[in-house]
Amino acid sequence: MSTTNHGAATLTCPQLLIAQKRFLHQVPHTSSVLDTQVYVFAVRLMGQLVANYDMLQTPEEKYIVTACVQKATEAEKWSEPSIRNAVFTLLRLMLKYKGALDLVIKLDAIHLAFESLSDPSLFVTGSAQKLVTKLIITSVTDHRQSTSEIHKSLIKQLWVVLRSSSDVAKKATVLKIFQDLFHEISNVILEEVNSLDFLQLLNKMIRCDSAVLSREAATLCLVYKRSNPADSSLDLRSEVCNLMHSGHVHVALNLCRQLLLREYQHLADGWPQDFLRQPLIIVCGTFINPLESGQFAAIAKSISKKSACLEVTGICLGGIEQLLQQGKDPCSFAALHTLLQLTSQECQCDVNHSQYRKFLLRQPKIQKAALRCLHQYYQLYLNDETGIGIPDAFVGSAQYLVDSLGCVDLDVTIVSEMLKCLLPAIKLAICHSLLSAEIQMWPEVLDLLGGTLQKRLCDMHWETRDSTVEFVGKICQSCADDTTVNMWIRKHNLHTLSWECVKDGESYVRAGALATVGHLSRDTTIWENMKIVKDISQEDVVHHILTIISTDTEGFARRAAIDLVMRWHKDGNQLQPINDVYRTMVAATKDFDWEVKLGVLTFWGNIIDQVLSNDTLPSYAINLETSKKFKGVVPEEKEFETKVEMLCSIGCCQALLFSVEDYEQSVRKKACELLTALKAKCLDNGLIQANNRSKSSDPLPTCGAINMTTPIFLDSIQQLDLEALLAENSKSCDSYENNPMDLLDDILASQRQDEEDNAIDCY
Amino acid sequence: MKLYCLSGEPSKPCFILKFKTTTIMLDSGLDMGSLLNFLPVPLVHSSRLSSLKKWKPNDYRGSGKIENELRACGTNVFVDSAPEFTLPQLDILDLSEVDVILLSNSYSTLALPYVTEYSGFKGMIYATEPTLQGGRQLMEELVHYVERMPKGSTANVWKNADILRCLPAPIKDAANPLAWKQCYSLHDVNSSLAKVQMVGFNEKLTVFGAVTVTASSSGYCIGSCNWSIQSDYEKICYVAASSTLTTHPQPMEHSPLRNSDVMIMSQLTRTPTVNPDAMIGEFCMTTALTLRNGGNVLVPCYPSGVTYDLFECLSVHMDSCGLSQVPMFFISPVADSSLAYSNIFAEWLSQGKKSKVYLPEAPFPHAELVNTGRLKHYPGIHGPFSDEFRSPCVMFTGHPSLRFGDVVHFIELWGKSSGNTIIFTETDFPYLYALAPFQPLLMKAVHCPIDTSLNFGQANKLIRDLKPRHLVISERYSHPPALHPHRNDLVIETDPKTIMYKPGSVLNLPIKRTYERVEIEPELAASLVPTEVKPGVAVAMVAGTLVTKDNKHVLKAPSDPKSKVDGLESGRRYYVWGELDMQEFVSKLAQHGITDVKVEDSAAGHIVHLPSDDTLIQIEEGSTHIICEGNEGLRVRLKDILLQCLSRL
Repeated sequence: MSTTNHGAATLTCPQLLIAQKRFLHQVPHTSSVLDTQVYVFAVRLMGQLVANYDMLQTPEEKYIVTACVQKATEAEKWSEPSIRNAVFTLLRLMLKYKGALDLVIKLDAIHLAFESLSDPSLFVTGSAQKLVTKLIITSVTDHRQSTSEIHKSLIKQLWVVLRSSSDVAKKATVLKIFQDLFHEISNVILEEVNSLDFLQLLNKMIRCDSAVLSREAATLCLVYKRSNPADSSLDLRSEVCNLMHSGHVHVALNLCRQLLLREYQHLADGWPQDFLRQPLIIVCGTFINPLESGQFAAIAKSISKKSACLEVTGICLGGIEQLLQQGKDPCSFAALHTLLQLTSQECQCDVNHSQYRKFLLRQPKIQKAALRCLHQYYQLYLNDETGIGIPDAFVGSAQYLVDSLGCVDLDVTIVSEMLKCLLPAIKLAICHSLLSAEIQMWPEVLDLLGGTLQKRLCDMHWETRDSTVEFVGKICQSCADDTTVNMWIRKHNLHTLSWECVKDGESYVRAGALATVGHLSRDTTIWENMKIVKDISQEDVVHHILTIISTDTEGFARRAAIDLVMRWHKDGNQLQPINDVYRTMVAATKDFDWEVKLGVLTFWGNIIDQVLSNDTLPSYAINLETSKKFKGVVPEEKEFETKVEMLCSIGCCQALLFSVEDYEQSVRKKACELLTALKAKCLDNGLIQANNRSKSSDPLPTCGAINMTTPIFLDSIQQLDLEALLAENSKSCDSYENNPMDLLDDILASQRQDEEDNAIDCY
Repeated sequence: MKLYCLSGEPSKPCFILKFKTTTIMLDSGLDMGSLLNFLPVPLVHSSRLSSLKKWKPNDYRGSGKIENELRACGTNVFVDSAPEFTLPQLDILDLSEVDVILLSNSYSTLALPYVTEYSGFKGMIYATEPTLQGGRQLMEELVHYVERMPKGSTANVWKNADILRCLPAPIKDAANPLAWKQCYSLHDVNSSLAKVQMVGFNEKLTVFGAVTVTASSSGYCIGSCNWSIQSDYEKICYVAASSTLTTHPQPMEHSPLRNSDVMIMSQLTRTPTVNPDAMIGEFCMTTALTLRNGGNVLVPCYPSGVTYDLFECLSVHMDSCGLSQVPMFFISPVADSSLAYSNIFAEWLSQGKKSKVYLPEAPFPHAELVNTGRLKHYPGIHGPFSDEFRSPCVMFTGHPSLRFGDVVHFIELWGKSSGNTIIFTETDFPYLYALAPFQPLLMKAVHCPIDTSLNFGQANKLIRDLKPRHLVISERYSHPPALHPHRNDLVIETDPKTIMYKPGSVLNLPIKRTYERVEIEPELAASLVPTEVKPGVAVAMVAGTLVTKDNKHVLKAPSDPKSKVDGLESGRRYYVWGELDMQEFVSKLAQHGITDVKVEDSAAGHIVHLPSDDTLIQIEEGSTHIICEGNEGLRVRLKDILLQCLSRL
């Protein structure tokens, strides 16, 4: 069997095709004894076949398809949603072939598809919807078929459903079908359906009680307008205004949100964002007299109940976030700041007068949406190098975040969002020198933040500890160069507390803390101070990390520790005593977690690259103090053999050979890749001979079993057929999925209960 | 019915209820706020405390020697004397009249020896077993702390009103220090508690046959209860410290407290603005933060109650923060018995904890913590503690007032380092004032008040649910706390039926006793001849002797059978009843020859006019008037005719 390109093999290999056909031929005849899942498999297999192969070419093939579909539509099988889904998908894929439309009509699949437009299974509804859409488009575009006029009757049927059906789900699916059809064949639909009637019906549906129907009808309006921009009978702005006045504010705002999507942007020239901002202005109490504007009054009226207020505010915030993501400022920073205060119990400022406070107070969804918007704002200002656009409320908003972060019973997800916001806020402050004493409030805000972060690093919820330690790491990563931030980290012991989190009881926190330690260690001032405060040496730190690699019960933490070791190894000056590191990494080759093992192999890969690299230090670096740090690892201009000897002595070669026999395929593959590269270098340097593989049946030396010497290692890699091993380990399990011959035989064989073969005595 | 409010502090209640013929004392709380005016009593000699400057008012010219009584620390002045307590106003009435004392929880028992000893008290005391044991532990700890380092002299001169007004705040605001008393002795504690009779939840106890008292779980601490005091026709509920939160005790029972005539509510939370859950979180976070920074944590606490929850939550949090190796110390003279008792009171615990017993496991995790050596408990800092002590650690010890107990030693020891933290969780004492004599203090002080008793929102909801006809609350609960004057949500919603009391008030409770249950002796009952007055209602005349004994009333047959005959027959007393049928009356008049009859309907009944006799008969409900110009014979005839038309009994 070929080991490559099995997907192509499915198509081209005649033997395989025959096997598949044989299987599919037998399926309808054995269907009474076949399990439903096998039948689902058969129909899906047929679907895969017809995707690339015309199964309607010969009567025999056509028979297979017909028989299979007919059997599938029998009541017992048809009740299974997977069957329905598979059949609709098969028929849709088949429609590209000549004669398929006739076959679909003959099988009465149109009726079945219409019935399934409101199927309890969303998958079936989706596939039925796609089939109907494809049927209409095929009928319009493909004139090869005798039933090319079928689209007219189908569109009429859809129109009838839309007008007279009481099934909301079905109507929503039909609306989706029309959305797809308008993209492709707008003119054909309008030939069959009067545009005024159509728009009138949509108008009615938009105002209906069903949220789904209303949403789909509104989307269809947009699709219609995009396809027919010249149609003056549909003015989107007036439609939105009317919706607002008729109390359908949430639908109107959803329409505005959709108009902000790239595909509809040309339909509106900025007015949707004005509409989207209005509820926020009202909720925040900025708007005093609702009688001044009918629109404001309509919105105010519609959000007088809690659920409506939350829904409208949520849509409004979603729209603002969307605009911000597109780099547009909807000029609502101050309102957003006020909204956040309204949601916060701790806030005792003048926002209390807003009548909407009682609705919005401690509403996590609104809080999160508002925080996401705030984050986008900060990002927007961060991208603006001039800093001119930074609003006056910026420091106030950051202060709000810090104040609120101190609240003990805050939801963990809110804490996480707040920390996400604070990161760009601090960056922003640094970029525009807001941390200086000129802005009086900042030192206080930072002090308060430091105290709050300290507590959050010891929070009751591990999620919060994790977010906080990650935040400290990110701050250190991006802002530690700033003297104020550097001092702030040290003043509030955030570096030492982050180090303490390495000993946390929760593995995610330990993993996060290890990553943060990596960032902290890059700043000498912070790192050295941490060691002084905690009264530990670099050796103690390394020893602790190695202990985590060796003994931690959770893979996350071990992986993070290995990443840290790799980072320090890359930096070249942190890993002491190095021999302990090598010993631990050799032991970690036997880890239970395959990702840990991959990490270990990456480490060994880095070591090999470093040791075998021919690059010597540039002449100007030779006398530098830091160059001496590499001396322990990189032998200068040594013979290749010496370098390999060194790799053997530190346990690298031993670990690689062990990993070749690992029970995880990905680990074996990685080890094979590394050994192949190493073997190639050995060959290049004449340490081993090409095609000199002995037939020795000795097992490979196991990790730790023997003291690996260079000759043994060289002998071992010479014995190994690494190319074959690599090829075998590169095989994906997909190959079996794409080449199901053996699997098919197994399935069929298991069903032949009466055959003699099954009666063979094992003894 | 009268209610005497003896305590000035609603969280340390003490009431006396006079109901029917009984006198019932509800709780016996001891206000320990006065302790804060005294200098701490260190366990080992403290040069700092002993060198505090002596203080006397500048313009003092009195005769008493005040020099050795007061000492200044910063701007505060403290009394250098044995600590004293504020008792309930026990002199309002004679304690020997008290028939029964009902105790709700161990924290409301602390004034009991002052009530029962040397006062002539000879009644009963009812409490649940955990309340008794918990109260005993609190009292023993208190006595132990006070007696361990006795002060040589007692200061009294400073209590003179002339001096008192010259003192700085807050000591000058002390209420009636002359009434303060020194701590009782262990003998008094034992003698007092020996009078306690243990009761179970929902056990009905009769007080002299007059009322039945029943304890029901209040969910506040182990064995804590609310009381319902019930007669045959009246019900009074006393809601003491209660909690609707899920902690370790058995949950609060609502149904026994429903539909009472009067509900007396006390011991609401003293920290209404904070959520106990959040404070537990803050406590754990602060502890972990201090430990991670290498500092020690000092928790002044009582030996039971919330302390058990702190052990549980903190140990879990320390595990999750990787601080499992840090030891927790619990130092109290009663630490051993407190931990041991808590784990044998399974029947008084929440369902979750109760079910552990069947596994079998100890209900509280502190048993496991003790077994594994993570929680070490000692009676004091002397002895084996010094061998085991290591730093950093978490130290739970008393007393929360910081005026005596081992906590004083640890503040002196750790107070000089900013790495250490003292965390206040108890709400009995304002923490800043508690710390005042230790200033300047570098140790961080964190306030995490954990009070699980009802907050105002919960209390209002409970009142709506229980629907008492009248509610009695402290007037303090009717207006927002002084620190939050605009928080109108921090009050009990009052209505005209709410009765508020002030310290020392005597309230007349608006319960009108209308009925009393009387039993009829079977012999007498058998002799009755009931007449049905309307479907399902029959009445009968009865004559008997009412015998009242132990507040039970029994109607017995008259001792002389002749008097019965005389009573009914010779007197010929019978009663008429029913509504007059006008038609029948008119026809009866006709039978007696009075035919000229005109009947008019009036607003109150009927007017019958007999023109020929110049007579008017006004018939109204409950009364009939015959106006016949002095014709007595006619009047009697008319009366007889009218009576013939009524039913007779």
